[in-house]
Amino acid sequence: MKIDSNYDIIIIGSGPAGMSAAIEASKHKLSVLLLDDQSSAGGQVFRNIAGNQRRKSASSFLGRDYWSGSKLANEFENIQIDVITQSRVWQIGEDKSVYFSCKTKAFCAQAKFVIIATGAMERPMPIPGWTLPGVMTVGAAQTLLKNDSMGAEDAIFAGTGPLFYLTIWQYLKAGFRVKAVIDTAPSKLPFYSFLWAIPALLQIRLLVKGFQWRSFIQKNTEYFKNASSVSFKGVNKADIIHFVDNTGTKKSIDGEHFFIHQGVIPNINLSMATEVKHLWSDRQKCWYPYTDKFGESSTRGIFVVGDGAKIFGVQVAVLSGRIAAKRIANYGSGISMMSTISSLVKRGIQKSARPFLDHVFAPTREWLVPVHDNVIVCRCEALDKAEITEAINLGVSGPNQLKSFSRAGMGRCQGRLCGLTVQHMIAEHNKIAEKDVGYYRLRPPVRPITVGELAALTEHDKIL
Amino acid sequence: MFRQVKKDQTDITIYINDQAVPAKTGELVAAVLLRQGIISCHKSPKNDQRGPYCMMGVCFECIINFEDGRTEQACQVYAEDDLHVYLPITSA
Repeated sequence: MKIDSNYDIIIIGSGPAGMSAAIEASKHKLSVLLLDDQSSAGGQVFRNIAGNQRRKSASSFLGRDYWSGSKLANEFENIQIDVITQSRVWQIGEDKSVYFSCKTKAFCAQAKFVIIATGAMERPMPIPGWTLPGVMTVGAAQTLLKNDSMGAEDAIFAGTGPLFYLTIWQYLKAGFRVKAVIDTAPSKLPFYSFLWAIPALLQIRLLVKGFQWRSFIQKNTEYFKNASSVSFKGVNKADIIHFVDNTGTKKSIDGEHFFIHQGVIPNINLSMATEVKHLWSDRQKCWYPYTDKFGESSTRGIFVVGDGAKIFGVQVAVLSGRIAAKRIANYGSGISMMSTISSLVKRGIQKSARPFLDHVFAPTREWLVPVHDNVIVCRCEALDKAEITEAINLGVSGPNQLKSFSRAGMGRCQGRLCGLTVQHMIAEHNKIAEKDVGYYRLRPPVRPITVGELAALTEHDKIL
Repeated sequence: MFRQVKKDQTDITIYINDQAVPAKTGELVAAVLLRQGIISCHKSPKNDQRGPYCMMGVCFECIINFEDGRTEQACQVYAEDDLHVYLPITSA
């Protein structure tokens, strides 16, 4: 593999934001290295779009929103940049050096600018039985549809959010029987949430689409609305889901495959380990990196764009990628505002529906904080609520001390699936605001690497 | 049970614990496991079964072993002909 020693931009992630940044950068004749952990471009939302395009008739069930990515992906295929697929970035230096591994070898590349476009991940969902084999995320179900053209027959879906309805719709269109849909969105919303519906009207097509997905699902599955108290039981695998329906009646349904979802949050492990400033969103209940309107973080020359910067969806990600690349092309010249003004206005309109969606699909407390003592909080270290509570009761000041006391967040996933839960628990116990609790201090490498990989790095003295 | 949307379209063979199973080039190894009905990959430090959960590299619940002894997430490795994988890995 040949890597130039110095790029104008290194882009991490080839989802909508990364692809659009790369396209714009190449228009400005900037040299670009793009790193992505999948085998082809698309990110999670347009995953495997080139592969699926080759047999489009066989995967028409993915729907118009998925195929709308074709134009971007085709344009991306035709630009002249360096792309390394199946590569995992594990460190970004302040000097814009980017360390990554590809097929068990480690590399370092250098750039003037770095664009982090690593997208979103699904919110941790510490409900009873969520660690049992057979319980997967709705995003996982969709990945299997897009990448491997496969799904589970007679699956049960529980949760809420745009991705929840879209994936079930795709499942039904692909010809899978769906055994039950357990919708946890509350049917009654506080009055003020409807104030957010007013700006959302600018994106009326989006809202209509959501209603269409849901009514299609209601017609074609056993559908339970306004459900709560979701839990799974089974020995060595989940074989039953329990919940309470909208009349307050306890229900149970047998099953083999269960998919859960409570919305997405920015995947912040890389940006946090890069030590750019992060802010807390009370509305989306997650951390996100501070960025200016062009996407530049608190560290000069390091940009974060797309859902990894804040959850706003595909269209905003595409525009943000373009705006960031334009800004870099004109860096320091002061004309950025003029050249990006139309993209900035378009992006403002695209963002208008998000606050309403955030309110409608806000996760309820039972999905954020475990209800019973034996619910697993930290999957990797298998620590349950009782063990975390015990550590909190010792008087921990924050997530990092809790980590030292309990090992929570020390496992392979590096806190990705327990960080927010631990933060919510400490906030409740110590009666302080979530943003004041803070998050785990994340350090590189953000992906596991072997000592051998490290040792074989040619520029090894730059790492430590 | 997981199944492919269109009737089995497999073109290669991979080996799970030395047992030959059909797979599709470019398929995620975790997907191949799931189609075989394998939903557990390893045990947690408290000995409970864990298997594929997020399918996008976040959770590390689908970790398995490869021929050279390295451990990887099965959802991050693409199937190719004659690939050998081993599971369950022991908790580490």
